[in-house]
Amino acid sequence: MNLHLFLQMVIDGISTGAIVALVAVGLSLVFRISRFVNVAHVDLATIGAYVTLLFASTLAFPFPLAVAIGVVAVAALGFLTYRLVYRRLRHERAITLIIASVGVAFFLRYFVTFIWGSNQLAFELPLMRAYRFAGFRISPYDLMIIVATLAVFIALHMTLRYTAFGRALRAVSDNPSLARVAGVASERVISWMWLIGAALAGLGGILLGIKAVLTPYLGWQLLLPTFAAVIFGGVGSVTGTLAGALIIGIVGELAAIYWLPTYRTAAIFGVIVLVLLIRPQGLFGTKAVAK
Amino acid sequence: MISYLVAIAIIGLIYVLLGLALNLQWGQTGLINFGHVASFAIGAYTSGLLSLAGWPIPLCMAAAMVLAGAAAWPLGRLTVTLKEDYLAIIAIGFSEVVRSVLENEMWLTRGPSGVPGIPSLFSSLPAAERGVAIMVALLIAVAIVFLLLERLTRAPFGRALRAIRDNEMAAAALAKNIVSFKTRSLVLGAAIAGLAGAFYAHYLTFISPEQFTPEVTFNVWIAVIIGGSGSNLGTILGTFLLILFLEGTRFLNDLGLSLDGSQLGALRFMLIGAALVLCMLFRPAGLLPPSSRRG
Repeated sequence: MNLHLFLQMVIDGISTGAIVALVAVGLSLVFRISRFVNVAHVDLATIGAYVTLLFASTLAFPFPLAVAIGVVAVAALGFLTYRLVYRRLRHERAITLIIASVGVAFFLRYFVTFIWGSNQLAFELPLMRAYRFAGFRISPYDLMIIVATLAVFIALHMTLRYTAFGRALRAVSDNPSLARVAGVASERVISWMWLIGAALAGLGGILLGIKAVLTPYLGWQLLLPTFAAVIFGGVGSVTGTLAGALIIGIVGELAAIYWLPTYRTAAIFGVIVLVLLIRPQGLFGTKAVAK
Repeated sequence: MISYLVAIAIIGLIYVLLGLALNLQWGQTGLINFGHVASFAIGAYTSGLLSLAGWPIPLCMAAAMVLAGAAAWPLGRLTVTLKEDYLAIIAIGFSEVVRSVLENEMWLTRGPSGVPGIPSLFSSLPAAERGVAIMVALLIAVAIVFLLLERLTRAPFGRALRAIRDNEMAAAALAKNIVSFKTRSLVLGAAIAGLAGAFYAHYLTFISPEQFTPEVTFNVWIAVIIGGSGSNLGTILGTFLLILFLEGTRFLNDLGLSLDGSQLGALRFMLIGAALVLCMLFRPAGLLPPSSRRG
């Protein structure tokens, strides 16, 4: 095995992993507070990329502004799905919510197909020369993706750990009725959580759009890696999810090089199976998720 | 016109088989199998490839059932002990992995270009009569599967499945082996889906990976849910409505809409997604729910 190539793949895997981490931590937060796997979460990521495309390319807005609009739009959309669908089902079993979320996922994915078609599209971004150091190369866009993800994670970690909102969130996710008795406005906390979770998915989708091409399946491809990262890290653990996502990104990249590019999915699936066999509560997780 | 109706009936009956299989797994047992299409694909490829290798078709179809069932077994052992969400995602992963194997293992499946020239059922008959014969064979298969599942529903096995679905803790307290029951339900459902796949292969005589996308899984889901999860008759009704919808929307453009083919397809799936959500919100039991909690 060529060590240099191996390390280059690790570097490439980290930027993919960073995107997965953004989407995964949103999924994990929503799971923690609403107690079901929101399958439509990854399709929110797709919407983020396409809204940004609409504003950046069709309407010729400056790209950073288009990204911001994309993130805000997805946050609003995620919140809307919560109010219209999931909130009404909050007393049902998780199964009912999961099936409803598949319906939402289908609706969103084919809405994108309906409007933009199923051909590959791309952001019109200037080509940039890769930075080189010690014989390794990294594209400025990958570097930007990694920096943005790190910034988001630090902000998120600080918010959850040290602010009143973070305490309220942890209280509501641990024991909603107790939190209500203690005077925590749980509905407001849940609403914020959906906004933040969806915004993270939107940002992840946009960053993936920068790295790859846009298709209606942009988010769907992220479902398995995202879920793998959440399982790896343990549900609800922000730092665990980040670590899990980076590992998944690297595994995917290595599988693509040493096996077959199209077996990325199979490799990630293998990782999920292994983790479930060895430690159902996640490698880094502290909370048991198995019922 | 007749041949068009026969063609629709054949596809409809194949979907009924898939629906009955899913109804056993989901409706009776509460397993969220979002990877149903994997069993369908394994059945289709097994039967198709074996018949090309010279096996007689009935033997191929039996092999399709065995292999599709066997492939579901590890999935069951792995996930049925975990939370229900896990099986949902793992099953999606399983079906995506199966599809990528179909796309990549050229030596076996000929990859994305698909497998042409699969021997048709009743190939000695002329084309028009062949369709009718396949339809009759499928009707018989559906009838057998339907009666078998109805019997199973009333048998202690079916009662145990519903007990597990409704209250797993209580069932476990009654010394029911949860993992074994759930796994058997998953495997039996997968075998029936494998049979559906075999019929599909020997009817179309051509199969390719793009026929086995997650959309198939969710078409079957909507049929089972609209009809009434847990009810075999409801599943048949739901499938009928699904086929009516899929065929009916072909004529949307006659109403003055000017959509191209891909937009029409997209609109169809948007409506299916919306129907799934509305069903969960307003009629989670479906149109024909099981008449009573038998047993």
